[in-house]
Order: sequence, then C-alpha cells, then structure tokens
Amino acid sequence: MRSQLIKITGMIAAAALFLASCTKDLDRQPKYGNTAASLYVNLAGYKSVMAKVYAGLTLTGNNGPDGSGDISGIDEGFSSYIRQYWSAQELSTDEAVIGWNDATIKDFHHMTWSPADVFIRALYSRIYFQITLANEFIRESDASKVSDRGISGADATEIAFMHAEARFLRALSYYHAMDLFGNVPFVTEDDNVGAFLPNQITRANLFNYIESELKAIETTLKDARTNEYGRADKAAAWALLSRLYLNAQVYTGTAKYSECITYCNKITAIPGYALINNYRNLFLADNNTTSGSEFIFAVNFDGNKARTWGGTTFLVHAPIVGSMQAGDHGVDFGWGGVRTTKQVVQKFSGPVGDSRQNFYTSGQNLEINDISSANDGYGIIKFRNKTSTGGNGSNPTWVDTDFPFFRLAEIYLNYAEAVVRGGSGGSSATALTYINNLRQRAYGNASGNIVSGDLTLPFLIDERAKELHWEAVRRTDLIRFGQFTEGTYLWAWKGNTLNGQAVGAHRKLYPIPSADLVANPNLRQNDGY
Amino acid sequence: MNNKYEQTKKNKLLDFYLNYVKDLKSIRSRLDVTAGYGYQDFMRMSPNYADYRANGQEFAPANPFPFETQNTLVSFYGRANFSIKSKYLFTATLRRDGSSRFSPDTRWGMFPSAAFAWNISEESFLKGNTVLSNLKLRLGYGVTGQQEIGNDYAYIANYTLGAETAQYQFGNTFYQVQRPVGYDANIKWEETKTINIGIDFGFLNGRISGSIDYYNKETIDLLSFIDVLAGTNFTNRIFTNVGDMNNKGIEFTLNGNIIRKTKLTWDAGFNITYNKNEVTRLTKVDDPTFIGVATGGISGGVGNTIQIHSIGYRPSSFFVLQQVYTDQKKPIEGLYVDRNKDGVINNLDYYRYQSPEPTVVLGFNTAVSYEKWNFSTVLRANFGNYMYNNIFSGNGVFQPGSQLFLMLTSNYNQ
Repeated sequence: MRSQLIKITGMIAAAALFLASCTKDLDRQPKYGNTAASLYVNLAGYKSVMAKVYAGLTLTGNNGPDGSGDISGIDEGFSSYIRQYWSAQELSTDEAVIGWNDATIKDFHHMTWSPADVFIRALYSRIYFQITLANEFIRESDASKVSDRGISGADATEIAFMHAEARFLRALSYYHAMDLFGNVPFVTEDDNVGAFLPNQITRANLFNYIESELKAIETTLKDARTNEYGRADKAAAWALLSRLYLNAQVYTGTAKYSECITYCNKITAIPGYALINNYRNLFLADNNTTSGSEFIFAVNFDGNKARTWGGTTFLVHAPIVGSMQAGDHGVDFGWGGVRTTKQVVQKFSGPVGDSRQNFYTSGQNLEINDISSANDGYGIIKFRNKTSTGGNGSNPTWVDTDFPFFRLAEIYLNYAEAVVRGGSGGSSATALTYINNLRQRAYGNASGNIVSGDLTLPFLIDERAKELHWEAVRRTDLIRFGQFTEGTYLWAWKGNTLNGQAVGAHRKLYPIPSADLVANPNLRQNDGY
Repeated sequence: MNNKYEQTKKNKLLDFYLNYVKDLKSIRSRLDVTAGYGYQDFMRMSPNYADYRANGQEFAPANPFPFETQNTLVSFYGRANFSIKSKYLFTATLRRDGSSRFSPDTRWGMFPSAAFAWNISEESFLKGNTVLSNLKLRLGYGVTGQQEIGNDYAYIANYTLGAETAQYQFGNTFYQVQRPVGYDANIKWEETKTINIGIDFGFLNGRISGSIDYYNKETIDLLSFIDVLAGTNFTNRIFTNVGDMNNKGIEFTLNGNIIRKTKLTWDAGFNITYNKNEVTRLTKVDDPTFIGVATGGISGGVGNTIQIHSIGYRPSSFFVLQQVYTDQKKPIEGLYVDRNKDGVINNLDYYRYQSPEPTVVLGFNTAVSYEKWNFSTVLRANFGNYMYNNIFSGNGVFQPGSQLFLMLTSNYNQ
C-alpha cells in the first residue's frame, strides 16, 4: 500500500515537472521579427526604421505594392498617404474631378463629405500612423539611448541627423493634420504605445508647436543640399515654415507674411537652388536626376523597388482617360478617373505658348455634365512614367516618378504673395523677377512676362494654379484666398450643382472621423459637422 | 499571371487526466472526480514564391520571409460530480486555460461552472408513474473563454522587415524597411457567462421525450477588430477587447418513438430555437450618435460595406437605403425613402434592416429501421436571416458599355 502511494506520488511529481515545462511553450515569439533591442544596435538598424518613416509617405505596406498594409479598413491602394492627401487637396477643388464609383469618393468634389467618410478616415489614419511611427523613431534615437547602446562617433552623429529628420517628418504630418482637420489629437514621443486617450490640441496651439519644432531642428538638420537625395535638410524645414507662415492668418488669425519672406530668403540664398529648364521634366520618371536643383523635398518611388497602388502610380494611371494612350504615359493601363474643370482650362486664356498648359482634349468635353463619364472634362497630362529623353520608367505598372512636396517654384510664389500682402523683408522688384523667372521657363522666352502692375492677388492665385496644379496645394490656396467655400469663385459641381454654388464655411476643415470621435472622449468635432 | 501557393499545418494534441470514482454506499451517494491537463499546438507555414506574368517574366519577386505562425493552448482542469440517491446531481468544474496569444500577465483565464440537476421522477410521488416516466430539472451557470483572434502575436511589440519591392531610396541606394507592428499588450480572454434553466421530460416510458431550455449569455470583453485611437498605435485597427453582447433564447426539443417493434422502429424528432441577440457596448464611451462599426465589405467599388454593428441592434445588421416599391410591390430602380426627411438621399438616410443571423431555427429528423436497413433524414430551417446578393448588386448597376471599363478599373485599383 505504501509503495503504491510512493509510486503514485512519483508519477504526479513527474507529470507536474513535465507540465511546468510545457507552459513555457506559451511564450511564443514571431519567428521573423525584430525587437527594439535587436534592431537598434547600429547605424544600419536605425536607418532601416528611418527608411520606413520616409516610406510612410510613399508606400502603403511592407510588401509593395500590396499585402501587409500599414493601415486597414480600406483597400490598401487607397490608404496611400500621397493618394489620400492629394484627393483631399485636389478633388475638393476646381483642379480635379474623379469618375469612379468607389464609396463616397465623389463627395470630395461635391463638398458633401460626412464624418463617416471612409476616405477622410483613411487620410486621418494615415497621418496618425505616420506621426506614431515618427514618435517611435524619435524616442529610440534619443542621444542618451544611442550612447547607452554603445553607438558613438560618426554613426551617432548620423543618427542625430536622422533624429532631426524624423522630427521634420512629424512636423510635416502635423502640418497636414492642422491644415486639413484643424483641432486634432496630439501625441509626442513622450506618449508610449498603448491604451490612452490623446488630448485634442487647438489649431492655433498646433501651429505654435509646429513652428517651434521646425525652428528647433533648423539648426540640427543637415545643411541645405548636403543630405542624400530623398532625405530632408534645413531647406525642407524652411520651405515648410514658409508655407506655414503664408497661411498663418487662416490657421491662427494672425498674419505672418514677413516671417514667410524670411524663410523664402533663406532658401533662395543657398547657391545651387535653381529652376530647371523644362517645366514638364519635373514630373517625369527620371525627375530624381533632372530636377534636383529645384526640388527642396521630394519623396521617392521606384517601379521595381518601391511599389504602391497609391503615390505617383495613382497620379500617373488615374488621369489616363478617354482616348489617351497609356503608352504615352509610360504605363500599361489607364485607370480612367481624373479630369479637370472648365474653370482651370480657362485660366490659360492669356498669351499662348505656356508649356504648363497640357490638356488632353481629343474626345473630351470641356463641360462636365456627368462626373462619372470619363469623357466629361479635359484630361491633364502632368505626372508621367516617361523619362526626359523619351524612354519608359523601369516598370510599366508601377511608376518611378518622385513626388515633390516642396520645390523652388512654390517658394518664389510664396515670396511674391507675401510681398503683395504687405510682408516686409522682401521687395516688389524681386517678387516680379521670381514670377517672370517662372513665366520665362513656362514660355521659353520673355513673351509671357508681366509688369509690376500685373502682380496682384487675383493674378497670383491663378498663377499658382498654372504652376502648381495637381501638386496638392490647391485647397489650401483657395481657402487662403477666400474662394474655397464662398460664392466668390465657383466651379463645375462645387456644392453638388453643375454650375457650382457656395457651401458652408465649416467645410474649410474636414471633420474628425466619427470612428475616432467615439473612441476618444477627449475629442470634440469641428463646428458645423 | 502565374503563381504558386503552398501551406503546411502541424497540430499537436496531448490530453492527460486522472479519474477517481467512489461509491459512498452508506449515504447512497457517488463521487466522481477528474483532474487533467491538455496541451494543444497549432502551427501554419507557407513558403513564398514569385509571381510570373503569362509570358514567363517575373511580375513580383518572392517575399524573403515565409509566413509562419504558431500558437499554443495549455489547460488544467478539474471536474467533480456528486450524486445523492440518483436524485440530486451536483457538478462543478474549474478550468485554467493559458493561451500563447496573450501576454504572461493576461494569458491565464479561470473558467468555473456549476450545475445542479434534480431527477424529479425518482421521487416517491412520481416513481413508477408510466405516463410521466421522466422529469428532470436542470440549473446551470458557467463561464467560458474565447481566444480565437486570428493573430497569434497580437500582444508583442516587434518590427517586421519589408519586402524588396517595398524599399525606400536614399541617394542611389535602396534600403529595406523595418516597421513596428501594432500591438495591444493588454489583450485578454473574452468571457461568456451563461445561465440556463431546463426541464427534461419523458412520457410513456420514454416513447415521447423532450426538453425545454432557457438561456441567457452575457459576453464581456468581446474580442473584436476595431479602430484604435489615432496616435496611440502603429496601426489604425487592432484586435482588442471591446464591447459586450447579449444572447438569450429558448430551445424546445421533442422526440418520439412512433413505432417500437423488434424488427421495425420509427423515430422522429423536432426542435425549435428562438434566439435574440443584441450588441450592448462597442466603444469606450457611450455616444448615442455613434452609428456603429461598418463591416461586411462588398465588391462593386472600393471601401463599400453593407453591414454594421450598432448598439441596441443585432450584430452585422444590414445598413441600407430603404427601397421604394410600386403598388404592385415592384421595386422602383434608384428610388429610396428619404428617412430623415431632409430633402436629399444621403448617408443619413441609411437604416438597419435585418441581419444574416436567424431568429428562429427549426430542425426535424426521422429514422426508420427495419431489420438491418436504416433510413434517416434531417431537415433544417432558418427564419429571420437575410442575405445580400452582391453578385447582382456588383454587376447589375453598371451601365451598358461602361461595365468592362469599370471592372478593369476596380481590378487595377487594388
């Protein structure tokens, strides 16, 4: 009896030991993952995460072109930062209409979007994915953490530059959030990942934060034109400050035109910045090699190594409509979506020969009777996957063309407008020179030049449309000029009527997506929604 | 397009238990105790292959990392049955389950249950009654856990390496990216508390038997794939515990031996279930204006959904515009009811109309056996469940001539 008891006890003990070891199997780790500890051990590790922060602007996921998407709840191609940012900035204006049947996509142009809009939510989610990503890198690249990890010397210096670049990228995304949504959730590197309720920051306070961030990194970023192509330098921060100050009246109620001029001057003082000779080359597959002197900050695409259904792949494919030949654009198919309104076409009624005027009219109607009809509205030929020498991009489906967030031409236009609006630190003569530089490039000679009396605000808003159309600044420009929601300027299907009508002033801001509003009790919806 | 796919699955299962039974004759009782241990492991692997165009050219290279995912479940459990005079039956169970899908702090769930049954027909006042030959009352309470979230590593902070087609270019060099993955360190078991009351009965020595059950299931910490608060995670949607749900209903079963001869038997059974379910909480804050979480993606455009989870409604209710019909009950194409009467038909006019889940389920089975021959059939019917015909809606609205073009578009927008 006793020996039996010992046997049973022994069996139970053996079983318990065996069972205890089995509970260790509950510590399953992903087989092909890295932790912060295994990744941030050297410069290469840091650079691979930095690459993802930049790629947050261009790609949609880890597979390219799709699969393993960064954000979900929407088709991955639509989740592209540039594609959604572009849609919010362009489809809502005179510059673009889209004919597709995808959910509420026509609400952009009709100006009838609601807080439940899936595209607005995708844009918002994308911006906050980017901010959270940047926060993570900023946290991990803090100087003390880098030195604790035993990284020093030139590698540590390089990581410090990347730290400043991540702050620039975060400021850029916060700028977009402030411009599009106004009062938004606010998170920094001090907020770790997890379940907490971010506070809402007012538009004016966010303006101050962005300004202070850019001024702080103005000294820690690499000097203008000394960084690798595709990475931000001091001039990128200056360009964003220039745009921020130009619109300060809208964002805070206080104009800052003189500050705008100050930062334009910092850029134009750098030797090496110059307009390239051919306007159309700025938007071609080899713009990384042809347009470096004009690009202040551009993000990179590659048909084989950086694939997405958004970004410039969207900007090349979607505007191929009607009888346009995809091959002329260096790609295999057109997506038959984007055209422009009559009001944009009419802006080119001045002297003929403006190379920025590149409409596709064959088989297209000037009038848009039906947005869904790909033949209503002229096509625009701008972003293409052809090279400046007539060759094709590296891949017929995905596009090589890089997207310029800031280029010198915008700085010229910002400068001229800030001068006309009464900013100090610049001169009308320089403003006129800058504008005529743009026009000489466009016309190939002085035939399109203007005189000082022509340099007015109505002239400048139209000049901006000619120079910068489809570069994702139009909505911001129209708001600054009081023409976005007002009845002062109407375009086809503005306010969902053929001839256009004014809409509520609250539409100068997009609504906070209802999904986030409900999840986070700290958030208040923008007025009017 | 030419591509190849392969998947390997490895599942392991171990169950180990000890059972002890003791008849306590002095008090005409019986004790039955079981203690056990269970181990389950699930692993899936898929190697990656490149995609090729029809002409043999490579379209997309293989992702460098094969897909591999694994999860393990460990359980310790105990069960005790105690019966007195075959009249009063007590059962208690306790499980402790650990899932590798949750962090060490949250991975263990404790799931108790208790049940009592009273064999009324064993009581003296019914014993030997040939009309009411069986009568039993059952009461039960139990908690069960759910950990099926599809993602085996939802609580772990880690980085994943991007493919060669998702690089970023600095200067003339392309860099493979490392992306931090969204995670919820606090994700835990979903729990369902069930109360049920039932009566089993049998008439005429069991020739007619059946049961009536009422149940009320309260699910808390519902595991769901929901939106994360902007700015708090490396993704916009994540598996996490959110929401509560309630299911209640009544089940009725009736079985009969219509013919019971040595050579020939004929049995028939019938059951009916009525179920009512309702989402009772979905978000951290109660907001009566929140319309709900859209679900049920459909084809025919991108980003379109047809269903919604809303508080106070059945899960996955269809969320649609209300069709206008003619007097002859024929739908008028493109004409919908302006439900909020604001003069326009827009997203504010959508309403929740029916759900794919049935409210009533009916079942019928019958079996006839004659010597060595058996004939049987099972019939089932669901009532109150609706379906959405997306094949028809996805293709039916395209105008002639534009159909091909639109289909091409949607293929290339992916």
